[in-house]
Amino acid sequence: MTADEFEMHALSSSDGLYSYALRLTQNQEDAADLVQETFVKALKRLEGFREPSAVRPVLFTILYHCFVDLWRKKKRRPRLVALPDPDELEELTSAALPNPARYSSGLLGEALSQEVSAALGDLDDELRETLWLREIEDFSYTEIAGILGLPLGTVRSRLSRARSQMAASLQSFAKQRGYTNPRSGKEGS
Amino acid sequence: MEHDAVNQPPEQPLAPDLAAYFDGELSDPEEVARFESMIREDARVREQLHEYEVLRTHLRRLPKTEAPPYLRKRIAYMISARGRRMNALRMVSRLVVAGAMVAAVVAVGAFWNRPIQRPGNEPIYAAMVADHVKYKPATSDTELFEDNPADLETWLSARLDFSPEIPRWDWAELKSGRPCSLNGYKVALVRYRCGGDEMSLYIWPANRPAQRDTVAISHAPEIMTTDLGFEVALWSRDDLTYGLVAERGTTSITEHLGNTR
Repeated sequence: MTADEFEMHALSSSDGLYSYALRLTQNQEDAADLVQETFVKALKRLEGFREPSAVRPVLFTILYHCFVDLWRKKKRRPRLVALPDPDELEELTSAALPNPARYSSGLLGEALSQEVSAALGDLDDELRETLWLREIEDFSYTEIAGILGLPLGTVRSRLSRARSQMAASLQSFAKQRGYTNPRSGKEGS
Repeated sequence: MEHDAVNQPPEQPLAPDLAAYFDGELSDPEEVARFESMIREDARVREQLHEYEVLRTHLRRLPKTEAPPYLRKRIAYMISARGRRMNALRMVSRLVVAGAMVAAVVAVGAFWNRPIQRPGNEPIYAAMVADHVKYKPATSDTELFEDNPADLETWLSARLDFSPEIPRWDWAELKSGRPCSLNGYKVALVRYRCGGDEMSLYIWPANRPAQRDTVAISHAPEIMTTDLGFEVALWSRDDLTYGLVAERGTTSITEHLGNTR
């Protein structure tokens, strides 16, 4: 693969890489360094890239490994949190109560992105990393397994657990806010 | 009969397989059919899939973070720099390959056009020294061990197309004689012992190609010393040319042959 071909596929991944790095490191400078280190390592093996479709998963794999190395060096792992949407945050603080009408049906539909972010932040690191790669970056199970260095079955079970925990957190939130579940006709406490 | 998911105990994950079904990651058609059947019949399964769907919608609505412009620029620069380096390396490697091919062609050409070692091309003194160094006594069929010069001359004449006249020296003991080849031409080799050393005397008809490189071999011995520690003397007499090789040591052929001038 030529540098031009690589550039075309790699640059389109830079936002996703930075976003993932930011959630891993919680620090903009560290995230930028992590992405830069990722490209330094990727460019060293540029001749090894054959399929353009492999560029993105490989970049995420390198980024994750760089992060793990960083964590091992620091003997601690930065906690991954979901960043709040500034617009949502403003809306939340300015309104006394959110308007239930704006949400889709079902308990989860009542949840705000703010709460989704919080629920995501409450997940264990390994569940959050796996869920992020699936739901935000839209990687296949095989690609996720490659990126995180896990068996396929572990990816499956992590995704299942991550979704269950997220659902439980959001249901709890919705009930606390008193949103009704239109399906059951019941009200939360 | 349908189940009511809301009135059931808190749902345990049906199985990681349901998430895999939701993600389109089930490859077994029978397994897919099984889940489709469950979806039709079980409200809890439908509810869980609906939760997955809503959760996905919310997760994908989370704010997207863009890489800072400086980072994008830096990445683009790194890639283009790498591209330039790759192009330069590619160019260098092409030049190296081209150079190697040219060198190979030149080497092959030089090999085919190399000067062919024809008889008489090697300097006669060098040929004599080389033959002297590699001398080993041969069998009686090819070398006659005889201290009588006349008998040796007779034996050699029968095996050569000329009659070598063997010098009679009182300072050297005649040992043997045999035909041999110098620069591809047949000559007579006569071995002497002088002191503790052995000498080789080569005899061939004057003006034979074997001596082509030597200029005007005179009657008086022309003595030269090689850098390998040998003394070589060349002279001619009675239509024969003589070349004597001895190791420079206790024996000095200069001293003895000087008397023959």
